[in-house]
Amino acid sequence: MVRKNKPITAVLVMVLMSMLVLGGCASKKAGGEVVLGYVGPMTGPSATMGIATKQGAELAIEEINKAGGIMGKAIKFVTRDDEADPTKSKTAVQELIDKEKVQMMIGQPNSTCVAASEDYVNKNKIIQILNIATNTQLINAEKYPYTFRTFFPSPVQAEALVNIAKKAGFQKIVLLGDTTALGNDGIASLQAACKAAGITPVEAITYKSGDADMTPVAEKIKQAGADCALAWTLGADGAKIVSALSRIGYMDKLIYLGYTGLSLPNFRELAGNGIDRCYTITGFWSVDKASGATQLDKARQELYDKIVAKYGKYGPGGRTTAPQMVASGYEAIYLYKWAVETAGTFDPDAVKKVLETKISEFPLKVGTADTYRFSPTNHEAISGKDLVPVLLDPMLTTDKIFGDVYIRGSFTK
Amino acid sequence: MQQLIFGLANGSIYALMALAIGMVSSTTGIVNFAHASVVMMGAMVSWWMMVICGLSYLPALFVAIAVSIVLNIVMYETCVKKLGDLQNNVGWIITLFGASIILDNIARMMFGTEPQAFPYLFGGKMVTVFGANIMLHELMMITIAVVIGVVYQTIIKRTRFGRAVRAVAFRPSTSELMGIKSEKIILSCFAMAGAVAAVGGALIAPITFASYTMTYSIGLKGFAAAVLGGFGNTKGAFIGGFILGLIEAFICIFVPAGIKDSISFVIMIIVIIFLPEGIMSAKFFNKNLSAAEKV
Amino acid sequence: MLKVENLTIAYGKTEVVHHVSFDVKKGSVVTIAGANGAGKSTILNTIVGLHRSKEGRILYKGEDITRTAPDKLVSKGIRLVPEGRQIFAEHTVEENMLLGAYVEKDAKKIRDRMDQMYDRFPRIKERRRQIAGTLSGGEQQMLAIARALMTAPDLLILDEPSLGLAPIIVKDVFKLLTEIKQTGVTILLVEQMVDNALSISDYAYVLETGKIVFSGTRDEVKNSDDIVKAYLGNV
Repeated sequence: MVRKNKPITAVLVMVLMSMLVLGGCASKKAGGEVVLGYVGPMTGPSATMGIATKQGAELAIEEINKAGGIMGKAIKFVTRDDEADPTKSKTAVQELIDKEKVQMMIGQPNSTCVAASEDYVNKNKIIQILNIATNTQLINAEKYPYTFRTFFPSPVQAEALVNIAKKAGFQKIVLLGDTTALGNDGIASLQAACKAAGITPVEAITYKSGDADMTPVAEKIKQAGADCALAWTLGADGAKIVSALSRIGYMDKLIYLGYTGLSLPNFRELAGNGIDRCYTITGFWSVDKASGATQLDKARQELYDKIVAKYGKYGPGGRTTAPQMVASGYEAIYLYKWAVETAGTFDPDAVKKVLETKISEFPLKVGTADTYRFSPTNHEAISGKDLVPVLLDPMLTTDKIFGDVYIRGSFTK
Repeated sequence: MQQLIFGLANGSIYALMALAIGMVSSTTGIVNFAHASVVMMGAMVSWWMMVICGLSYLPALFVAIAVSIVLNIVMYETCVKKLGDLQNNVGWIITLFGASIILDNIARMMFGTEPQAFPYLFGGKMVTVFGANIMLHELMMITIAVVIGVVYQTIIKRTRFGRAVRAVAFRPSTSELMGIKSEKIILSCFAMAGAVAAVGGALIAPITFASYTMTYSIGLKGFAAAVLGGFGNTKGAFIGGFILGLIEAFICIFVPAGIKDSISFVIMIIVIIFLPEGIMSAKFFNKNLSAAEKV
Repeated sequence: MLKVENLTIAYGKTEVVHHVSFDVKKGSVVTIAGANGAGKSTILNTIVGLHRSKEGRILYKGEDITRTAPDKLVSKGIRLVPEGRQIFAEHTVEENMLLGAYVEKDAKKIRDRMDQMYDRFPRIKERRRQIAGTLSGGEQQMLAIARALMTAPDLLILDEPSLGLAPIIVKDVFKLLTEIKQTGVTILLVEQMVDNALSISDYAYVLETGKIVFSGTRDEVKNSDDIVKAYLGNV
């Protein structure tokens, strides 16, 4: 009996051993995982921003996991759709932190959503990178020590807009903004930037976002005799104002220079003929055609090609997202990877310290600007000097704004 | 002159919305909160027909009218009729608001979130009259609205159907005693409101752009105009729409565009306080009827 | 002409009419008397299809019409002149007449009928362009009756035609009803104060809290002391 049982015992032992090994592998894998999270709108009006970030992050994570992860740990990426609703967003963020145990999050594109959950994120010492949200209040190195921004917030955009207008020599500048928090914030930023640049705007004109008819706004601009409108307007409102300006025959008398919210895929169709006098601003994701360039710089062009290869060309049935935004999601993941590896630990305080003190060493230059300016007291990466005016029409490969890479523009009075 | 045209053009849309809201509320006593969404659907369907299916303006508009009529009938059958007595069961407030949200979401799913350019009539051609630039489209908006308003009033005043509508509006049960099927009349009113919604949608879409949120701001104005004219009073509602458009256009000269809505609503609140049954209840309009007593 | 069998009517869960049966013979005038709240109007509204019965049958010319829609009943020749006249106050007088003929599609028939009515009601003719709400109470009652006669009904039902009218006008109304009866129209009347109604009636029923408590010919009613005391006042 005993003899007979020996092979069976051997088999059993082998099975048990292999289970242990496999089990060990499994448990090692579980311990070797780092969870990164993202909450953003995947449906609804701002879905294109939400999806863009997710696409970029997934692209980066795929590459990183293929190359061995972050310090040997594979990245698990968890995402939630918040439909740009602050309440839903907050719940989703809490879920990711409490249940999924994320260690780093890419911030929501919508500022109100970030605001709703930012306290919780920082209380739990989660490194948070805002790649799209622009509200000024969101960045505060003291209040939100773990939140960093790689995008340009209102004051930075305002500074850039005012400087561009000043350099071009405009005399009669009007400021445009809607009556929402966004518009008020924008107008305040523009006024502050004007003051800093020593410019007195002729008038600040407000309107109600989404209003059916923007002709009254156009009339006001005309009455003010403006030669430049610095516009803190959203795409559809902006297009309506431009179309109303053409409608009353004033569009050829001014330059319409808007903040980034002005970009909208079909801005050209909506705005009509005045489009060639409309500009927005952006960072280095723009092609300087005037100086003979036909492509982005090398690193950005490589990423652009990857984006097109993975998510398709912009257009119906293809990609709906802007490459610059996809790139910012992509870069956020690499930024975290770099900071962790430089710190040699996942400890949030160490990672934060690296971001604050060694950012100039970050090698990947595919974001908005080439140099980031984080410091222990400043968690904003971009300054007004990093932005350039770009044409709202046409884009490099498509006539849809948002859909592709901007062409730099230049104008003088 | 310029302001006058803008005011009348916008007013024509408010008037069409108020008229359609009035059609429904005159016979049922309810307020169709989903009306603005049907206007939006009308615009989106005509846009879809023109841009995706390649139809020309009029056939596209006819499809949109048909769709809006069907929508309104479905809405009546599901959100209104099932509730029974509308005076006691105010569930329609919920069902119609719900219908409006559902329609907005359907539109968002079907047509996407991006606003779309919608063609002007006559390719956006402009003429200059007395130094004002006037778009032919705007003239058409005003004309079409006035024609619809006048045709509707004529139907209501002069035809057998119109008499029946007024009878149902006045007292449904007595109308039944005359052999009028109140329900059929109410359904017809919903259908007509749907048709008017589609026309209004197609007319305003070049200005607001076609998107699922296009009627968010004008929808409220439509209701405001309906109240200004006196609920259930289609003539008053219609005139209320034009008055609201004019008020808006002219106060814009004096106040920032951002607070224009507050000012126009202040004016409306004042009107409603003094004429709770709408502008048509003003003595000025009722000289001959002063002896009228309601039974 | 009209036969009501075992009719029970409820509003929600409250039964207001219990197992009521009565008969209206062709060419006769029948009165249903009863105090306010006895269920008289409820019965009439059920007959003309505005309200649904819970139990029982209504037969008209031998045909079951228990669940027939109001517009069908109008076409079949049943007309109700509702309580309080309920003329369309914001329509003109003539429009009220036209609404009365709503189920009739033949314009010539409507025209002829209207002329007949104008002959019978010269006051109405005089005021045909006026807004109906401006008529006096008596005129409104005449209009309500004329409106109902626009489709030449076989059965005319009147709910409290004397309500709120001056005695002298009430006399006119009943004189008119007698004339209508003479043209062969069957009449079913509901009244609280039945002295006038009874004078033109062939038969009467008395309704008390949803039940018929008495029925009989005009003379039988007049000879019943209890009924006279309760409903007829000083005859």
